[in-house]
Amino acid sequence: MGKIVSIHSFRGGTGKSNVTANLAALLARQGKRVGIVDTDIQSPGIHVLFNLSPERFRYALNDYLWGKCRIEDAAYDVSGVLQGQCPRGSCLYLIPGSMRTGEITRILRDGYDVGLLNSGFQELMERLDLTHLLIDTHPGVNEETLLSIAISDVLLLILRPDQQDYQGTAITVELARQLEVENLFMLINKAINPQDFAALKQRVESTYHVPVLGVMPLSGDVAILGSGGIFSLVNPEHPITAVLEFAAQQIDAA
Amino acid sequence: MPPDIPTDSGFRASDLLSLPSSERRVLQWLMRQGAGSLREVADHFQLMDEDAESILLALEKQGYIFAAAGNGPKSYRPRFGSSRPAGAPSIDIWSKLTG
Repeated sequence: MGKIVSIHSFRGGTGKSNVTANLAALLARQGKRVGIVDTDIQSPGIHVLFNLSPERFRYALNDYLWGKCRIEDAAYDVSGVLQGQCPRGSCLYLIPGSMRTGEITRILRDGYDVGLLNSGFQELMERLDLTHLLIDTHPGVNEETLLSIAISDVLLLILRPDQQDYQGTAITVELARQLEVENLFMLINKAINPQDFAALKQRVESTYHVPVLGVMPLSGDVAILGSGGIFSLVNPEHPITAVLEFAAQQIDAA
Repeated sequence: MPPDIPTDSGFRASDLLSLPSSERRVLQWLMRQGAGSLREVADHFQLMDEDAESILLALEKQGYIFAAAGNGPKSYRPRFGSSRPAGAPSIDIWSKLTG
């Protein structure tokens, strides 16, 4: 059975979807069979990084949750972003969230069958023979987040060196501990002072007692790309790519 | 597709946090597996049959799992509740207002 990896942050704007897309691409480039589910139904967006425009997807996760299609019908092959830089047998699929206003509000208004979401994850892994299923979660704590944490083999928490992030992350760590997540990691993003990165990593690790896989700087290069691609593939020699590669290796080894 | 089950019963992910750890672990395992028999639960958690049975019965009594009918041994499945929109009034409140 493949691994379920949830990527979460307590607050928005941490770069969670960007990290998710990069980790997925790096794992696929290492020969893994990877799927990504955008469970951020209220504010989907990871499809942009894969250049998958809403006009191109007939079905989204929302359609599956309302019984309009099978989960694999909403899975799109986005391995084109790897530009052939992947071993034979690897794959990269994305299950996007709907970008139709009415469908987003319908989820908020009517809710959905949570059991379908859970069985969708399992079916996806089985039917696409995935080694890794990455779940891009909605920020904060809600039912979908708790479901994702409860069934995850790996939980990666993204945070900024910011007092609000620190407090919120403490809550998520406590929940993950209560739900006994087997492998809990953190990744610090948008750090300012490179001289302080080692000390920052140590401070966060000793505060939360959770391994920090890396510290990434607030980067103009990332901002310039502006979600117009997968950063680590566009900038293979960049120091941020090295951090993401290390994180992908640790997640794979967990 | 999962069996047709009532949508007003079952558990929400947040209910996991209030369960005793022995019940929560079994429920989380069933969520991941999809289904499991008494034997499989006992084997996986290295429990005596009677202990595994009492955990499954407790979960079943709370409406968090149900035993699927079949030819072989009983297979237990998680019974998920629907996600409920935040702040939505219950049916009971509407019936009181309109009644």
